Amino acid sequence: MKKKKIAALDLDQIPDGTMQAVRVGRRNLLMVRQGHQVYALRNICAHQGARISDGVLTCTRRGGHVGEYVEEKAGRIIRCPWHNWEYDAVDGSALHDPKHTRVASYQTVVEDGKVWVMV
Amino acid sequence: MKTNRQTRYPPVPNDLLELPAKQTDMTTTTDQHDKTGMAPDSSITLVDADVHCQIRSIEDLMPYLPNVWQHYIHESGLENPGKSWYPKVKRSAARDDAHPPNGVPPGSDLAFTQKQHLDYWKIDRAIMNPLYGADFLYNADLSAALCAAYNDFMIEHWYEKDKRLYGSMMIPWRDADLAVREIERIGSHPRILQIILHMTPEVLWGQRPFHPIWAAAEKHNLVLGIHWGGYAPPRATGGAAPSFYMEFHTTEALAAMAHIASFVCEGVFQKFPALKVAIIEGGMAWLPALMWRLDKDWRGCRMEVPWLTESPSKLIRRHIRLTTQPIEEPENPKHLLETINHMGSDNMLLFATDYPHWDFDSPAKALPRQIPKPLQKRIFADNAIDFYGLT
Repeated sequence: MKKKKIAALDLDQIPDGTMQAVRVGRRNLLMVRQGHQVYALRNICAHQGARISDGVLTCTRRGGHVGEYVEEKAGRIIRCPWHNWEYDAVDGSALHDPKHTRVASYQTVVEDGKVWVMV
Repeated sequence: MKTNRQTRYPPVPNDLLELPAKQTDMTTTTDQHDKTGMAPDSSITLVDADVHCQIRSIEDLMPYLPNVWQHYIHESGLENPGKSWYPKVKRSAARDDAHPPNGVPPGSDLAFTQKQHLDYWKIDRAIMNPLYGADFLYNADLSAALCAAYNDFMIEHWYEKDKRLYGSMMIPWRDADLAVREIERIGSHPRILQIILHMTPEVLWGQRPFHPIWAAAEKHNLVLGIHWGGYAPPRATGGAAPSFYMEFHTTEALAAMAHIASFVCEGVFQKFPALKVAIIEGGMAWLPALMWRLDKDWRGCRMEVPWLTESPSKLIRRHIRLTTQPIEEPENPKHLLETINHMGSDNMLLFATDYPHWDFDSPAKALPRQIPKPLQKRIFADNAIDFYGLT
Protein backbone atom coordinates (compact mmCIF):
# COMPACT_ATOMS: atom_id res chain seq x y z
CA MET A 1 0.00 0.00 0.00
CA LYS A 2 1.35 3.37 -0.95
CA LYS A 3 2.34 5.44 2.02
CA LYS A 4 0.99 8.88 2.68
CA LYS A 5 3.15 11.85 3.46
CA ILE A 6 1.60 13.70 6.37
CA ALA A 7 2.84 16.79 8.18
CA ALA A 8 3.42 15.94 11.84
CA LEU A 9 4.63 19.23 13.33
CA ASP A 10 6.79 22.25 12.67
CA LEU A 11 10.49 21.61 13.20
CA ASP A 12 10.77 24.48 15.64
CA GLN A 13 8.09 22.87 17.81
CA ILE A 14 10.56 20.18 18.80
CA PRO A 15 13.85 21.52 20.17
CA ASP A 16 17.03 19.63 19.39
CA GLY A 17 17.63 16.78 21.85
CA THR A 18 14.01 16.42 22.88
CA MET A 19 11.08 14.21 22.08
CA GLN A 20 7.42 14.97 21.66
CA ALA A 21 4.20 13.05 21.27
CA VAL A 22 2.07 13.91 18.23
CA ARG A 23 -1.01 12.50 16.62
CA VAL A 24 -0.77 11.85 12.90
CA GLY A 25 -4.03 10.71 11.43
CA ARG A 26 -5.15 7.87 13.66
CA ARG A 27 -1.65 7.14 14.90
CA ASN A 28 -0.03 8.21 18.17
CA LEU A 29 3.60 8.87 17.34
CA LEU A 30 6.70 9.89 19.21
CA MET A 31 8.98 12.35 17.45
CA VAL A 32 12.65 12.47 18.51
CA ARG A 33 14.94 15.20 17.25
CA GLN A 34 18.70 14.93 16.91
CA GLY A 35 20.07 17.98 15.11
CA HIS A 36 18.39 18.17 11.73
CA GLN A 37 17.26 14.56 11.92
CA VAL A 38 13.85 13.72 13.32
CA TYR A 39 12.80 10.14 14.03
CA ALA A 40 9.22 8.93 14.35
CA LEU A 41 8.18 5.91 16.38
CA ARG A 42 4.91 4.40 17.41
CA ASN A 43 4.23 5.80 20.86
CA ILE A 44 3.31 2.52 22.52
CA CYS A 45 5.77 0.30 24.34
CA ALA A 46 5.94 -3.23 22.95
CA HIS A 47 5.90 -4.58 26.48
CA GLN A 48 2.78 -3.43 28.31
CA GLY A 49 1.59 -0.54 26.23
CA ALA A 50 2.86 2.51 28.08
CA ARG A 51 3.22 5.81 26.20
CA ILE A 52 6.97 5.88 25.75
CA SER A 53 6.77 9.65 25.35
CA ASP A 54 6.18 9.73 29.12
CA GLY A 55 9.61 8.24 29.66
CA VAL A 56 13.00 9.86 29.19
CA LEU A 57 15.23 10.56 26.22
CA THR A 58 18.73 9.64 27.21
CA CYS A 59 21.71 7.43 26.35
CA THR A 60 22.48 3.81 27.02
CA ARG A 61 25.52 2.05 28.40
CA ARG A 62 27.52 -0.19 26.17
CA GLY A 63 28.49 -3.68 27.20
CA GLY A 64 32.18 -3.82 27.92
CA HIS A 65 34.41 -5.26 30.58
CA VAL A 66 32.83 -6.06 33.90
CA GLY A 67 32.79 -2.92 35.98
CA GLU A 68 33.13 -0.66 32.95
CA TYR A 69 30.37 1.81 32.16
CA VAL A 70 30.58 3.48 28.76
CA GLU A 71 27.78 5.75 27.63
CA GLU A 72 26.78 5.75 24.00
CA LYS A 73 23.93 6.68 21.68
CA ALA A 74 23.31 9.86 23.64
CA GLY A 75 20.05 11.58 22.81
CA ARG A 76 18.54 8.74 20.84
CA ILE A 77 17.53 6.20 23.48
CA ILE A 78 14.00 6.30 24.85
CA ARG A 79 13.39 4.62 28.18
CA CYS A 80 9.85 3.51 28.83
CA PRO A 81 8.24 5.21 31.84
CA TRP A 82 7.00 1.93 33.30
CA HIS A 83 9.56 -0.89 33.13
CA ASN A 84 12.54 0.94 31.70
CA TRP A 85 12.74 -0.88 28.38
CA GLU A 86 15.11 0.99 26.08
CA TYR A 87 14.40 1.76 22.44
CA ASP A 88 16.69 3.18 19.80
CA ALA A 89 15.00 6.13 18.15
CA VAL A 90 16.78 5.40 14.88
CA ASP A 91 14.90 2.18 14.14
CA GLY A 92 12.61 1.51 17.13
CA SER A 93 14.54 -1.59 18.18
CA ALA A 94 14.51 -2.63 21.82
CA LEU A 95 18.08 -2.74 23.05
CA HIS A 96 17.68 -6.00 24.94
CA ASP A 97 16.49 -7.87 21.86
CA PRO A 98 16.94 -5.71 18.77
CA LYS A 99 16.28 -8.50 16.29
CA HIS A 100 12.90 -9.47 17.61
CA THR A 101 11.45 -6.65 19.69
CA ARG A 102 10.74 -3.15 18.49
CA VAL A 103 8.21 -0.40 18.18
CA ALA A 104 7.24 0.59 14.66
CA SER A 105 9.34 3.32 13.13
CA TYR A 106 8.38 5.63 10.30
CA GLN A 107 10.37 7.43 7.65
CA THR A 108 10.48 11.20 8.05
CA VAL A 109 11.59 14.16 5.96
CA VAL A 110 12.11 17.78 6.91
CA GLU A 111 10.91 20.19 4.29
CA ASP A 112 9.94 23.83 4.46
CA GLY A 113 10.35 23.89 8.23
CA LYS A 114 7.94 21.01 8.71
CA VAL A 115 8.47 17.41 9.73
CA TRP A 116 6.66 15.02 7.43
CA VAL A 117 5.98 11.39 8.28
CA MET A 118 5.42 8.59 5.79
CA VAL A 119 2.58 6.47 7.16
CA MET B 1 22.34 -53.37 25.89
CA LYS B 2 19.24 -52.43 27.76
CA THR B 3 19.44 -52.78 31.47
CA ASN B 4 16.34 -52.64 33.54
CA ARG B 5 15.94 -52.00 37.17
CA GLN B 6 15.17 -55.52 38.12
CA THR B 7 18.46 -56.87 36.86
CA ARG B 8 20.42 -53.86 37.93
CA TYR B 9 19.19 -53.72 41.50
CA PRO B 10 18.11 -57.22 42.53
CA PRO B 11 16.75 -56.47 46.00
CA VAL B 12 14.41 -53.60 45.16
CA PRO B 13 10.64 -53.91 44.62
CA ASN B 14 9.37 -54.86 41.20
CA ASP B 15 7.43 -51.71 40.34
CA LEU B 16 10.39 -49.46 39.80
CA LEU B 17 11.34 -47.40 36.85
CA GLU B 18 13.55 -48.58 34.12
CA LEU B 19 16.96 -47.07 34.25
CA PRO B 20 18.78 -45.68 31.26
CA ALA B 21 20.03 -48.20 28.79
CA LYS B 22 23.73 -48.78 28.40
CA GLN B 23 25.06 -46.28 25.93
CA THR B 24 26.57 -47.84 22.87
CA ASP B 25 26.46 -44.87 20.56
CA MET B 26 27.22 -41.96 22.81
CA THR B 27 28.71 -39.12 20.86
CA THR B 28 29.48 -36.84 23.73
CA THR B 29 32.64 -34.91 23.13
CA THR B 30 35.21 -34.32 25.77
CA ASP B 31 35.26 -30.76 26.91
CA GLN B 32 37.87 -28.75 28.70
CA HIS B 33 36.89 -30.25 32.01
CA ASP B 34 38.14 -33.60 30.93
CA LYS B 35 41.27 -33.78 33.02
CA THR B 36 42.58 -36.93 31.46
CA GLY B 37 42.22 -35.99 27.84
CA MET B 38 40.64 -39.39 27.26
CA ALA B 39 37.43 -39.97 25.41
CA PRO B 40 34.34 -40.34 27.61
CA ASP B 41 33.58 -43.83 28.73
CA SER B 42 30.47 -44.89 26.85
CA SER B 43 29.66 -47.45 29.51
CA ILE B 44 28.77 -44.75 32.03
CA THR B 45 25.02 -44.87 32.59
CA LEU B 46 24.65 -43.71 36.16
CA VAL B 47 26.48 -40.79 37.68
CA ASP B 48 25.74 -39.71 41.22
CA ALA B 49 26.58 -36.03 41.40
CA ASP B 50 26.40 -35.75 45.17
CA VAL B 51 27.88 -38.38 47.47
CA HIS B 52 29.35 -37.44 50.82
CA CYS B 53 32.52 -38.57 52.47
CA GLN B 54 34.05 -37.40 55.68
CA ILE B 55 36.82 -38.06 58.13
CA ARG B 56 36.21 -40.21 61.21
CA SER B 57 37.50 -37.51 63.52
CA ILE B 58 39.87 -34.61 63.39
CA GLU B 59 42.65 -37.03 64.36
CA ASP B 60 42.50 -38.34 60.79
CA LEU B 61 43.94 -35.02 59.67
CA MET B 62 46.93 -34.93 62.00
CA PRO B 63 49.35 -36.68 59.62
CA TYR B 64 48.54 -34.02 57.02
CA LEU B 65 48.94 -30.98 59.26
CA PRO B 66 52.12 -29.07 60.09
CA ASN B 67 53.24 -29.52 63.67
CA VAL B 68 52.19 -26.03 64.65
CA TRP B 69 48.58 -26.70 63.69
CA GLN B 70 48.58 -30.13 65.29
CA HIS B 71 49.64 -28.49 68.55
CA TYR B 72 47.16 -25.65 68.13
CA ILE B 73 44.27 -28.03 67.58
CA HIS B 74 45.18 -30.23 70.53
CA GLU B 75 45.81 -27.37 72.96
CA SER B 76 42.57 -25.65 71.94
CA GLY B 77 40.51 -28.81 72.06
CA LEU B 78 39.13 -28.03 68.63
CA GLU B 79 36.89 -30.78 67.39
CA ASN B 80 35.46 -30.82 63.92
CA PRO B 81 34.65 -27.22 63.03
CA GLY B 82 31.23 -26.38 61.76
CA LYS B 83 28.42 -27.37 64.06
CA SER B 84 24.89 -27.23 62.76
CA TRP B 85 22.46 -25.05 64.65
CA TYR B 86 19.62 -27.40 63.78
CA PRO B 87 19.01 -30.78 65.37
CA LYS B 88 18.45 -33.09 62.43
CA VAL B 89 15.56 -35.47 62.09
CA LYS B 90 18.03 -38.34 62.13
CA ARG B 91 21.43 -38.94 63.72
CA SER B 92 24.15 -37.23 61.70
CA ALA B 93 21.42 -36.38 59.20
CA ALA B 94 22.06 -39.85 57.83
CA ARG B 95 19.93 -42.76 56.73
CA ASP B 96 19.45 -45.10 59.65
CA ASP B 97 21.03 -47.88 57.66
CA ALA B 98 24.04 -45.81 56.63
CA HIS B 99 25.83 -45.99 59.97
CA PRO B 100 28.70 -48.44 59.44
CA PRO B 101 28.64 -51.33 61.90
CA ASN B 102 32.16 -50.49 63.07
CA GLY B 103 30.79 -47.34 64.68
CA VAL B 104 32.48 -44.72 62.52
CA PRO B 105 30.40 -41.81 61.19
CA PRO B 106 28.25 -42.31 58.09
CA GLY B 107 30.25 -41.65 54.97
CA SER B 108 33.61 -42.15 56.64
CA ASP B 109 34.15 -45.80 55.70
CA LEU B 110 35.03 -46.25 52.05
CA ALA B 111 34.45 -49.99 52.01
CA PHE B 112 30.99 -49.56 53.51
CA THR B 113 30.12 -46.79 51.04
CA GLN B 114 31.32 -48.95 48.18
CA LYS B 115 29.22 -51.88 49.25
CA GLN B 116 26.07 -50.11 50.38
CA HIS B 117 25.97 -47.43 47.74
CA LEU B 118 28.31 -47.67 44.76
CA ASP B 119 28.11 -51.42 44.22
CA TYR B 120 24.48 -51.80 45.20
CA TRP B 121 23.21 -49.16 42.80
CA LYS B 122 25.87 -49.91 40.19
CA ILE B 123 26.99 -46.32 40.16
CA ASP B 124 29.54 -45.74 37.44
CA ARG B 125 30.88 -42.41 38.66
CA ALA B 126 30.32 -40.44 41.83
CA ILE B 127 31.17 -36.85 42.61
CA MET B 128 32.33 -36.84 46.22
CA ASN B 129 31.47 -33.79 48.26
CA PRO B 130 33.08 -33.58 51.68
CA LEU B 131 31.19 -31.23 53.97
CA TYR B 132 33.39 -29.82 56.67
CA GLY B 133 33.40 -26.48 58.37
CA ALA B 134 37.08 -25.76 57.87
CA ASP B 135 36.43 -23.28 55.12
CA PHE B 136 34.20 -21.23 57.42
CA LEU B 137 36.79 -20.70 60.13
CA TYR B 138 37.52 -17.04 60.65
CA ASN B 139 41.23 -17.74 61.20
CA ALA B 140 42.18 -17.96 57.54
CA ASP B 141 45.53 -19.61 58.25
CA LEU B 142 43.95 -22.37 60.32
CA SER B 143 41.27 -22.67 57.66
CA ALA B 144 43.90 -23.07 54.95
CA ALA B 145 45.79 -25.70 56.93
CA LEU B 146 42.67 -27.73 57.64
CA CYS B 147 41.36 -27.46 54.08
CA ALA B 148 44.69 -28.65 52.72
CA ALA B 149 44.84 -31.51 55.20
CA TYR B 150 41.28 -32.52 54.42
CA ASN B 151 41.96 -32.43 50.70
CA ASP B 152 45.08 -34.54 51.08
CA PHE B 153 43.27 -37.05 53.26
CA MET B 154 40.41 -37.38 50.79
CA ILE B 155 42.69 -37.76 47.82
CA GLU B 156 44.72 -40.48 49.50
CA HIS B 157 41.96 -42.40 51.24
CA TRP B 158 39.02 -41.92 48.89
CA TYR B 159 39.53 -40.34 45.48
CA GLU B 160 42.58 -42.40 44.52
CA LYS B 161 41.16 -45.60 45.96
CA ASP B 162 38.30 -46.17 43.56
CA LYS B 163 38.24 -45.19 39.91
CA ARG B 164 34.53 -44.46 40.16
CA LEU B 165 35.20 -41.53 42.46
CA TYR B 166 35.93 -37.96 41.53
CA GLY B 167 36.49 -35.47 44.28
CA SER B 168 35.73 -31.97 45.37
CA MET B 169 38.33 -29.88 47.12
CA MET B 170 37.85 -27.37 49.90
CA ILE B 171 39.37 -23.91 49.86
CA PRO B 172 39.92 -21.28 52.57
CA TRP B 173 37.77 -18.80 50.72
CA ARG B 174 37.92 -16.05 53.34
CA ASP B 175 41.42 -15.28 52.05
CA ALA B 176 41.59 -15.23 48.27
CA ASP B 177 45.38 -15.56 48.21
CA LEU B 178 45.31 -18.66 50.36
CA ALA B 179 42.43 -20.11 48.37
CA VAL B 180 44.30 -19.61 45.11
CA ARG B 181 47.39 -21.17 46.66
CA GLU B 182 45.43 -24.29 47.54
CA ILE B 183 43.94 -24.48 44.06
CA GLU B 184 47.40 -24.15 42.54
CA ARG B 185 48.62 -26.87 44.87
CA ILE B 186 46.11 -29.60 44.06
CA GLY B 187 43.65 -28.21 41.52
CA SER B 188 45.20 -30.14 38.68
CA HIS B 189 45.01 -33.48 40.43
CA PRO B 190 43.28 -35.83 37.98
CA ARG B 191 40.68 -36.92 40.53
CA ILE B 192 39.75 -33.38 41.59
CA LEU B 193 37.13 -31.72 39.42
CA GLN B 194 35.21 -29.43 41.72
CA ILE B 195 35.57 -26.87 44.49
CA ILE B 196 32.99 -27.45 47.18
CA LEU B 197 31.38 -24.32 48.57
CA HIS B 198 28.36 -23.85 50.75
CA MET B 199 25.05 -22.28 49.90
CA THR B 200 25.56 -19.91 52.77
CA PRO B 201 23.88 -16.55 52.60
CA GLU B 202 26.80 -15.08 54.55
CA VAL B 203 28.41 -14.17 51.25
CA LEU B 204 27.36 -14.00 47.63
CA TRP B 205 29.75 -16.04 45.58
CA GLY B 206 29.55 -13.88 42.49
CA GLN B 207 31.05 -10.82 44.19
CA ARG B 208 34.41 -9.42 43.23
CA PRO B 209 36.53 -10.41 46.23
CA PHE B 210 36.16 -13.99 45.05
CA HIS B 211 37.08 -13.35 41.42
CA PRO B 212 40.78 -14.18 41.84
CA ILE B 213 39.67 -17.54 43.20
CA TRP B 214 37.34 -18.14 40.28
CA ALA B 215 40.14 -17.25 37.89
CA ALA B 216 42.20 -20.03 39.41
CA ALA B 217 39.23 -22.39 39.26
CA GLU B 218 38.76 -21.65 35.60
CA LYS B 219 42.47 -22.15 34.95
CA HIS B 220 42.32 -25.62 36.49
CA ASN B 221 38.96 -26.53 34.93
CA LEU B 222 37.29 -26.84 38.31
CA VAL B 223 33.53 -26.61 38.66
CA LEU B 224 32.24 -24.53 41.55
CA GLY B 225 29.93 -26.81 43.50
CA ILE B 226 27.60 -24.74 45.67
CA HIS B 227 26.16 -27.20 48.15
CA TRP B 228 23.18 -26.82 50.43
CA GLY B 229 24.10 -25.97 53.98
CA GLY B 230 26.53 -23.72 55.66
CA TYR B 231 28.09 -23.10 59.00
CA ALA B 232 27.75 -19.42 59.62
CA PRO B 233 24.46 -17.88 60.79
CA PRO B 234 22.12 -16.46 59.66
CA ARG B 235 21.13 -19.35 57.54
CA ALA B 236 18.97 -20.21 54.63
CA THR B 237 17.02 -17.08 53.95
CA GLY B 238 19.72 -14.45 54.16
CA GLY B 239 17.59 -12.74 56.75
CA ALA B 240 16.14 -14.20 59.89
CA ALA B 241 17.22 -17.69 60.82
CA PRO B 242 14.33 -20.18 60.61
CA SER B 243 13.29 -21.94 63.80
CA PHE B 244 13.20 -25.42 62.39
CA TYR B 245 15.37 -27.73 60.35
CA MET B 246 12.40 -28.33 58.05
CA GLU B 247 12.26 -24.64 57.20
CA PHE B 248 16.00 -24.50 56.75
CA HIS B 249 15.94 -27.58 54.54
CA THR B 250 13.33 -26.07 52.25
CA THR B 251 14.15 -22.42 52.14
CA GLU B 252 17.82 -22.55 51.43
CA ALA B 253 16.73 -22.65 47.82
CA LEU B 254 16.41 -18.91 48.41
CA ALA B 255 20.14 -18.71 49.02
CA ALA B 256 20.76 -20.77 45.88
CA MET B 257 18.74 -18.28 43.88
CA ALA B 258 20.72 -15.42 45.37
CA HIS B 259 24.02 -17.05 44.44
CA ILE B 260 22.89 -17.65 40.86
CA ALA B 261 21.73 -14.06 40.53
CA SER B 262 25.04 -12.94 41.98
CA PHE B 263 27.11 -14.94 39.49
CA VAL B 264 25.02 -13.59 36.63
CA CYS B 265 24.80 -9.94 37.60
CA GLU B 266 28.40 -9.62 38.75
CA GLY B 267 29.50 -10.65 35.28
CA VAL B 268 31.39 -13.72 36.50
CA PHE B 269 30.64 -15.62 33.32
CA GLN B 270 31.82 -12.72 31.18
CA LYS B 271 35.12 -12.57 33.06
CA PHE B 272 35.52 -16.33 33.22
CA PRO B 273 33.76 -17.74 30.17
CA ALA B 274 34.81 -21.33 30.87
CA LEU B 275 33.68 -21.31 34.50
CA LYS B 276 30.87 -23.67 35.49
CA VAL B 277 28.71 -23.80 38.59
CA ALA B 278 26.80 -26.73 40.04
CA ILE B 279 24.01 -25.99 42.48
CA ILE B 280 23.92 -29.04 44.68
CA GLU B 281 21.03 -30.13 46.89
CA GLY B 282 19.12 -26.93 46.46
CA GLY B 283 16.20 -28.43 44.62
CA MET B 284 15.38 -27.44 41.08
CA ALA B 285 11.72 -26.57 40.51
CA TRP B 286 12.32 -22.92 41.27
CA LEU B 287 14.82 -22.48 38.46
CA PRO B 288 12.36 -21.56 35.67
CA ALA B 289 10.79 -18.85 37.81
CA LEU B 290 14.21 -17.47 38.66
CA MET B 291 15.20 -17.38 34.99
CA TRP B 292 11.95 -15.70 33.99
CA ARG B 293 12.31 -13.09 36.68
CA LEU B 294 15.98 -12.39 36.00
CA ASP B 295 15.26 -12.03 32.30
CA LYS B 296 12.42 -9.65 32.98
CA ASP B 297 14.48 -7.50 35.32
CA TRP B 298 17.42 -7.56 32.91
CA ARG B 299 15.24 -5.98 30.21
CA GLY B 300 14.60 -3.01 32.44
CA CYS B 301 17.83 -2.86 34.43
CA ARG B 302 20.47 -3.85 31.92
CA MET B 303 21.98 -0.35 31.92
CA GLU B 304 22.98 -1.07 35.53
CA VAL B 305 24.97 -4.14 34.47
CA PRO B 306 25.87 -3.29 30.86
CA TRP B 307 28.35 -6.16 30.66
CA LEU B 308 25.36 -8.51 30.51
CA THR B 309 25.02 -8.53 26.75
CA GLU B 310 22.75 -11.56 26.72
CA SER B 311 19.86 -12.61 28.85
CA PRO B 312 20.48 -14.20 32.26
CA SER B 313 18.63 -17.35 31.26
CA LYS B 314 21.08 -17.97 28.43
CA LEU B 315 24.01 -17.57 30.80
CA ILE B 316 22.39 -19.90 33.30
CA ARG B 317 21.77 -22.56 30.68
CA ARG B 318 25.37 -22.33 29.51
CA HIS B 319 27.18 -22.20 32.84
CA ILE B 320 25.00 -23.65 35.61
CA ARG B 321 23.63 -27.09 36.41
CA LEU B 322 21.45 -28.28 39.28
CA THR B 323 21.49 -31.62 41.01
CA THR B 324 18.13 -33.28 41.31
CA GLN B 325 18.14 -34.24 44.97
CA PRO B 326 16.10 -33.55 47.04
CA ILE B 327 13.79 -33.84 44.08
CA GLU B 328 10.47 -32.04 44.32
CA GLU B 329 7.50 -34.38 44.49
CA PRO B 330 4.35 -32.68 43.16
CA GLU B 331 1.05 -34.48 43.59
CA ASN B 332 0.86 -34.85 39.83
CA PRO B 333 4.28 -36.12 38.66
CA LYS B 334 3.61 -34.69 35.20
CA HIS B 335 4.10 -31.27 36.71
CA LEU B 336 7.74 -32.11 37.35
CA LEU B 337 8.24 -32.84 33.67
CA GLU B 338 6.53 -29.58 32.79
CA THR B 339 8.86 -27.78 35.16
CA ILE B 340 11.91 -29.32 33.52
CA ASN B 341 10.55 -28.30 30.14
CA HIS B 342 10.24 -24.75 31.44
CA MET B 343 14.01 -24.74 31.99
CA GLY B 344 14.39 -24.61 28.23
CA SER B 345 17.08 -27.27 28.05
CA ASP B 346 17.45 -30.98 28.70
CA ASN B 347 20.97 -30.39 29.94
CA MET B 348 20.27 -28.62 33.22
CA LEU B 349 19.89 -31.49 35.68
CA LEU B 350 22.39 -33.89 37.19
CA PHE B 351 21.09 -36.89 39.08
CA ALA B 352 22.22 -37.09 42.69
CA THR B 353 21.42 -39.24 45.70
CA ASP B 354 23.03 -37.33 48.58
CA TYR B 355 24.14 -40.62 50.13
CA PRO B 356 24.43 -41.27 53.07
CA HIS B 357 22.01 -38.59 54.19
CA TRP B 358 18.44 -39.17 55.24
CA ASP B 359 16.94 -37.27 52.32
CA PHE B 360 18.66 -39.65 49.90
CA ASP B 361 16.99 -40.02 46.49
CA SER B 362 16.83 -43.54 45.13
CA PRO B 363 18.19 -44.03 41.59
CA ALA B 364 15.28 -46.36 40.98
CA LYS B 365 12.44 -44.25 42.29
CA ALA B 366 13.31 -40.59 42.37
CA LEU B 367 12.62 -39.69 38.76
CA PRO B 368 8.94 -40.19 37.94
CA ARG B 369 8.10 -42.48 35.05
CA GLN B 370 6.50 -39.52 33.26
CA ILE B 371 9.97 -38.26 32.39
CA PRO B 372 10.78 -39.69 28.96
CA LYS B 373 13.65 -42.13 28.75
CA PRO B 374 15.91 -39.94 26.58
CA LEU B 375 15.62 -37.19 29.18
CA GLN B 376 16.20 -39.68 31.99
CA LYS B 377 19.35 -40.79 30.21
CA ARG B 378 20.59 -37.24 30.13
CA ILE B 379 19.78 -36.68 33.80
CA PHE B 380 21.22 -40.00 34.99
CA ALA B 381 24.51 -39.70 33.15
CA ASP B 382 25.00 -37.70 29.99
CA ASN B 383 24.61 -34.26 31.53
CA ALA B 384 27.19 -35.00 34.21
CA ILE B 385 29.55 -36.57 31.65
CA ASP B 386 29.35 -33.41 29.55
CA PHE B 387 29.47 -30.97 32.44
CA TYR B 388 32.32 -32.52 34.39
CA GLY B 389 34.09 -34.13 31.45
CA LEU B 390 33.86 -37.53 33.10
CA THR B 391 35.72 -40.47 31.71
